[in-house]
Amino acid sequence: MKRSGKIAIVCACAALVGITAYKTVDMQLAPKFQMQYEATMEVLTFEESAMCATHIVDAVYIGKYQTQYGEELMFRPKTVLKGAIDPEKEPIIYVQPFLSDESQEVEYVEENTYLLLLEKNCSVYYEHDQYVQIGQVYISSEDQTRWEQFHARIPTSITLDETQGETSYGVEFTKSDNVSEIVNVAENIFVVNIEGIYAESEIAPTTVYRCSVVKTIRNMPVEQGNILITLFNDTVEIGQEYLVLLADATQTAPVYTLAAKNGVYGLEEVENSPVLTALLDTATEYHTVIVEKSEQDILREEAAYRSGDS
Amino acid sequence: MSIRKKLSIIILVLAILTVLTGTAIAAPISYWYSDSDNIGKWETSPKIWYSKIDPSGSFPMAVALGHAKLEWNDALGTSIAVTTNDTSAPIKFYGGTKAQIDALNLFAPVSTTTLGMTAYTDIRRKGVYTYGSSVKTWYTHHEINGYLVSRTDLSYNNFIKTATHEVGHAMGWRGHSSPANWVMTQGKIETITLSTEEKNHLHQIYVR
Repeated sequence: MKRSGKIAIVCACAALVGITAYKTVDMQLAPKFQMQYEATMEVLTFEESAMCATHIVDAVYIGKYQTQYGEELMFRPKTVLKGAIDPEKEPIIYVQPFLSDESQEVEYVEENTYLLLLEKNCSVYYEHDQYVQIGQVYISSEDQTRWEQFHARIPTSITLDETQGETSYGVEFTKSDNVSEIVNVAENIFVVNIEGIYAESEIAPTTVYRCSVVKTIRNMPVEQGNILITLFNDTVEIGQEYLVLLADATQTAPVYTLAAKNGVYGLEEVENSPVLTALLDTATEYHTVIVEKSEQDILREEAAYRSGDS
Repeated sequence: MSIRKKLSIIILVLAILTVLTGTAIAAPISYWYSDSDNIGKWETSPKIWYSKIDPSGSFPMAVALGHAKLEWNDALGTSIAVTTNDTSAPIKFYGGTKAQIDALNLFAPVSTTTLGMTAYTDIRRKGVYTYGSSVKTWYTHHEINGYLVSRTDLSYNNFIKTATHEVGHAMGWRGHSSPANWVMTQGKIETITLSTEEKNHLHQIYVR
């Protein structure tokens, strides 16, 4: 073999090794992929899903709504078949994509119309109300036969009765930032010490804190004062005390949520507000009993229930 | 240029192209029972931390995760541990009602038809395998959060199955199977023991 031929082969081998090494390093250093999910659902018929839905709508897909935490799907409702959507207040609804494997993602086409079975969720922590799709159905008006078939399968009993079932899920809160109004709607008002972080959200700018109740002003805490409160990031410091205006926790305790976005106040802020100062004057001391359940305690409770000793 | 030299160059070009398309290193695998084209694995046995927010005895989260641990350790030859203390565990599961989980705001709103969920907060694509003519992507797992929903309409075995199912997702079993009585199938199912096929599906990745 001539010298030039040998050089060509050596160069090609070097390129091969280089590319392989590059690809290996590239794969190892690749950034985090967009969050993927596996949701495990009940298997329902279309009719059962329609019964569960708080809202059934024919809606035009208008694109993705990107936030720093992920994306939502934006739809413009055309016809509301179940539930109520005020077109003035909600010209666009924000729908969560199906929580599924990326290899099974459903692609919506802009300006096409879809039949959506939805559950409406409201929360003080959401930028806007969030709709969750149920039934894993994907029905586009482009497929006329399927479109007509599925519309015919929506039981008329549920489309005629807008009050049937839940109209939305979530804990009530106020959108007001007026302190007096927030105090009026708050079902639980405590002074708490922020003990530490329980969990940080990957989908929103919120953190759940472990708190101990130091004083009670309205209502009494559960779990002997060891509670969890979801708060917006950077609104509290660990080890400090705060006056918190909290929503009803009947369904959520030991997790408590804010009665309004602006529902947490440092004690020095309280001094500057006559309304909050008056509130604090009515506070009663509360002694939280720190209780930490071991895994054995939990297993014992579950076993006792199973054997009928609970 | 001689024929020998020309052949050498053609072989080299083909080798480069196959490496570039990623198929040169795609080893074949023997089983596939999922509707997904993804699969994952942990490089070391992970710990599972859990928080049982709904304290009700009718929600057997601790028993269910204990069962799930035994099933998957047996299937994969791993030594998964379950803890309530070690919050640095790379797998975290929260257990509570829809209202409780939604109040945490750690996940997108829970649907009333949801039994459980696994979120892959840190997984990394490592390569591909081939199964017949299809390509399967595999990931290493580094951090996972999930939840189990406490519902009054679920039986004891429904909870055990859901926990085993979600731990399966956390261990790398992506997507769902289709036989009606398998653990990795969607729905309210009473089966709590993994089928041989379900074990083989993930085990083949752990032994590589």
